[in-house]
Amino acid sequence: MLTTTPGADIAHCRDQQVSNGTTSAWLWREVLEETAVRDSQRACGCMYLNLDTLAKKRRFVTVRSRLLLSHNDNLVNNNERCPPNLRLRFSLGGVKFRRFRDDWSLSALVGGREMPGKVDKVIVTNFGALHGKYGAADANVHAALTRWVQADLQRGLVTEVVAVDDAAAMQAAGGPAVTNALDCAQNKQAIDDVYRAFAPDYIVILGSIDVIPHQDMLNPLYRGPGGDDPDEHAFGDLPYACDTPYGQDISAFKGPTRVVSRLPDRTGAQDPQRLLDLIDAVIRHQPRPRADFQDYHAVSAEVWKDSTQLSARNMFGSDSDLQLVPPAGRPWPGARLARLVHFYNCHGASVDPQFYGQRGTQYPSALNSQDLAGNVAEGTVVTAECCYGAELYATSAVQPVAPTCNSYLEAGAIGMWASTTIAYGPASGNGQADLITQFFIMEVLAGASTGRAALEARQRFVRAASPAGPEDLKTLAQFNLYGDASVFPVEIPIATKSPPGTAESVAKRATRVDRRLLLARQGVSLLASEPDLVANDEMVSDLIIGQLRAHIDDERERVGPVLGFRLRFPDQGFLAYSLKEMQDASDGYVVVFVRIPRPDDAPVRSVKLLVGRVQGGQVVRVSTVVSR
Amino acid sequence: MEELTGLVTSGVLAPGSKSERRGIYLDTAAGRFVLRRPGANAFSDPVLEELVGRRITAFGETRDYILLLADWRAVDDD
Repeated sequence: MLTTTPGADIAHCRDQQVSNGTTSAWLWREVLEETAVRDSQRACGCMYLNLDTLAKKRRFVTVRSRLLLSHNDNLVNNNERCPPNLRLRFSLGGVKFRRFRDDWSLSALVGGREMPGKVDKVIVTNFGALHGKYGAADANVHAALTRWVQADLQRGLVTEVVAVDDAAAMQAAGGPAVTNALDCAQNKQAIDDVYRAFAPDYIVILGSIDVIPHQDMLNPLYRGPGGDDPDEHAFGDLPYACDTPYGQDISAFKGPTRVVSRLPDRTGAQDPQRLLDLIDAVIRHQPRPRADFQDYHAVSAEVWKDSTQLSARNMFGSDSDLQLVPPAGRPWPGARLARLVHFYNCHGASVDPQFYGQRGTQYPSALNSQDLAGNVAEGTVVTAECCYGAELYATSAVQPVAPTCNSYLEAGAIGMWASTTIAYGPASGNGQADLITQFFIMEVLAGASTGRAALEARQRFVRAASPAGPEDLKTLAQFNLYGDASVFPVEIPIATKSPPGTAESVAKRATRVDRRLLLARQGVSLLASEPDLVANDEMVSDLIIGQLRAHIDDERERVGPVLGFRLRFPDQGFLAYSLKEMQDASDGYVVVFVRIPRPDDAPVRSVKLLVGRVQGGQVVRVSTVVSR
Repeated sequence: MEELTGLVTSGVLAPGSKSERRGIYLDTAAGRFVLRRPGANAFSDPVLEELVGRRITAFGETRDYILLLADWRAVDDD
């Protein structure tokens, strides 16, 4: 047995443990003695160790260190060495260190079961891709990551940084490293492997789409080049939030279970300073009282006034301060942009830094990303229904102005929830983009982390849209959270208290794990119960087209392309026979693009998208999604 | 900088979406691109409207189905 005493030089321990397995056992026992007595508790049959304490005391727990507890063949029962007031049984041993870059990893088997050292958050990135963008200056990013991990520890979060291109790190996670940074399938598998290894409460993707790509889900409304919806893909991070393996069918990702966000640098950037500033802003972030979010900055295209008023009332309890464009427009007074919650229901375009309002054929600017620097308060939360509001396009000589989403974060926003591609919404009332944005804001204002708000918004949207049509699936796929998923914009008093002797961070972790388990179960349930949507134009009949045509109330309108989608329900043996019969009759959706012929010089054509819910070969419900 | 020659046309862009509008296109041998002038209004650009019906050689960048226009020159049709 090694006789190193607590406080001994850690480097000495490292040297010895390589050749002496007992060293690691000793070290782990010491960790137990120092942390578990004060900070362990039995909760729901699990034991939680406060690794914050461990990390603060051990210099080796730094960025890129691992605290993965895993099975080990060399178990040592160390019960007799546990402090007498520690009533839990520890089957201790299996303490294993792995060299991981410059730091050490720690593994152990606790309580006869694999008990994670509870990594609360994993930051995934691609060091090679970052190096490719920033060269030697990527060392500054690594240093910022260290600061970030240390700041998380102060907040009670144990954070790991995993580079998906690091073979050793990925081997430890049980999977292959990413060899092509832009390969969607490789990145999806890598993040799945990391998630399974750590089961973190938060996953934060560090970097833009040239570091870790958005997943390339296929847009169900796309019908080839020149089609009505030009987006071949509904790009997004949704699959990273799902347990389903890589694929391009959005239907496979309707059961999200994980909290995922992305802190994006600029696509194609060569100077890491903006990314460093983003990380430091996350480190500085402090939740604000709910009262600070009472005033909002909500902007709508005038033509969507009714829909946006409803959204504003749902989110803020009032629509009295909603700004319509026109007559209002940018630049907004600094006092408005300094408000802590921003909401846009406006037009947007690809590779364009502006949002637009609309009255008739006028499209005045509602926002330019250049308006934001110096005017947005730190801690602001933003959501935008606008098309392409979350598109991370690269700037260039031809388009030198940065995307709105990058600019918002760089100006101080702590989270932005928006769409990568063309978004949809109904003519009246709320649907699609209206819903998924307001669900997000409502959760944030209720005190959720931005990441949990995003997950809850996704799940709630799947339920609200059930059974999801093609425009709903695109909505689910295209909305993404940018920022650190683990931040809490709004500070809400906690209803429960920690028992004496239990660290607050341990109690928070236990509560958070309970929430994650619930959300995971709900996600699994949604995936298992919600039907798939399969393109099937054969289900389009003259009868159905005729029934949909009846909803065209202007004789100038004409029927454009017609698309069919059949619902495919999962086989659920427990359903009552009568319910199965109803499911069997639940054919699907038929979508009609409707157009109004206008003179060629008219800048806009009013077009409707009629979405017909088809059952038993007939249309039973029609939703009108109007072009905005 | 890319160079593409074609006919400028107009049509409905993203119908049924939140941002459906009249788009200005460049129909080329390489396919159809939505024309856009960075810095101009993406939803209503009178400069591009003036080009509808003309053949032009466009200089700029293609981004998926979009051609970001840096410059152009008219092409004789004969």
